[in-house]
Amino acid sequence: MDNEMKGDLKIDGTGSAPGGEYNSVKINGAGRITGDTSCREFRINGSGNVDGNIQMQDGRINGSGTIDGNIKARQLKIIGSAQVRGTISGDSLIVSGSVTIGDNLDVQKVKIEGSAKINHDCNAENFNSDGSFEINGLLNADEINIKLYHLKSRAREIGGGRIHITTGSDAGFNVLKTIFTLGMYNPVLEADSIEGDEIVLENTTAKVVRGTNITVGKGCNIGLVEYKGLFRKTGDAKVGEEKKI
Amino acid sequence: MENDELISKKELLELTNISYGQLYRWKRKGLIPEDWFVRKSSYTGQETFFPRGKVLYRIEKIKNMKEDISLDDLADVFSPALDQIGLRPEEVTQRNIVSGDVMKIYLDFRGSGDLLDFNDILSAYILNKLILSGDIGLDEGRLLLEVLQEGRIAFGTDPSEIFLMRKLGVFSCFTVSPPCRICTDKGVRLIAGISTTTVIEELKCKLV
Repeated sequence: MDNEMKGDLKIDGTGSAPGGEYNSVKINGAGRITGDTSCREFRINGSGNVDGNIQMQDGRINGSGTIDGNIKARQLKIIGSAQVRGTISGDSLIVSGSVTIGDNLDVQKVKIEGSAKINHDCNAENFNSDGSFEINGLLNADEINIKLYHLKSRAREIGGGRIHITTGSDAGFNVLKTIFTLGMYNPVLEADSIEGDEIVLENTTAKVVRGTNITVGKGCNIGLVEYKGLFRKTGDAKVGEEKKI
Repeated sequence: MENDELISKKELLELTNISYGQLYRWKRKGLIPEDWFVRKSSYTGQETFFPRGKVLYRIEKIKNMKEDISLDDLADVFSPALDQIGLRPEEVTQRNIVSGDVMKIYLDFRGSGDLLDFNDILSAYILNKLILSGDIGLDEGRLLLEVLQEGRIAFGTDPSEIFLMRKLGVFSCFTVSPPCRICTDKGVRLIAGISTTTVIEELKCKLV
């Protein structure tokens, strides 16, 4: 991108601006951008709306952002809250606040520290979660690392190479945390099916788990396990049926 | 094609000797199209099935080709996106994609003939296939080219199918966008049904 020719857009109070090509876009107050936009740097510190698709190299949403379209970003950090009507695609997404995605999430690397809601599928090479998520479609990633801390996560289907779902280290009984989360303390993962090459599960409820090597650990409740290589059951895991194929 | 037999995911992995990880990777890269994943409910909840013939053929192809080119390049081969290519007619004939005679017919039809884009090559390739197989004659070929040009918008973005038929010796052809079924009267003889996605893949393999 040729940045020298492009101007900066900055909205400090309340204002709106047309879309287009910018070098940097900063919304510090309440701002609205109308139309498709592309920029190098994108920041929302107050509340921002984009009525259209937006492309950025480096994005950060600190306040609240509503994107009425798709986001394409080399890297995007959502520290506040974001609502995206379409798809987020790009290289890396970090969510420490919360995000709601109306369509798909298609990035190389995802890290969820806060919460994410995805209406369809999530495709990634690396998927990491220390927070909670709800994926209504398929979570498809080569490397899936999910640490369950205090809230329930859900995906309709999970598929990939290596799938590790474990309870976070401080997920044990903790009075303060229980009070803090007002009885919502429920570090579990629910899925209809989980399929992968190497699967390690804890606190997971699933109808079917299929794979090569499968370990089902404490707190699990699995209807059917189908494995090709090794199967291990530890702790108080409940498995309805196990089949070696 | 509509009545393609289905194969379950489990059976597919066993038969082709690939792992879940590979299958999901190929799905992510778009090597196996989304609409081939057919979900059906079974006693364990949902099971996924695939159109048997298509998916087995595709996986064989991926397994054979991935030794030579990377997955991302492979994805380009299978994605029906329009290519940014331009070839001179001589190059196309030299590479045995289209025979010299058929290229002449195509150039007559097209008018100017300096650089052929992907759509041009595709049209000529389809024409070449049908004429060489003896399915259609030269005049019928021209008719086909007109239809292909009309239906050009459908190329690349949406998969479509080209049907050629003959009734009482009179030739006719048209394109449709699946999923759809055609129903004809008894006098109609269907000469060929060509899926653009398949020919695009064939052609891309030749162009790589």
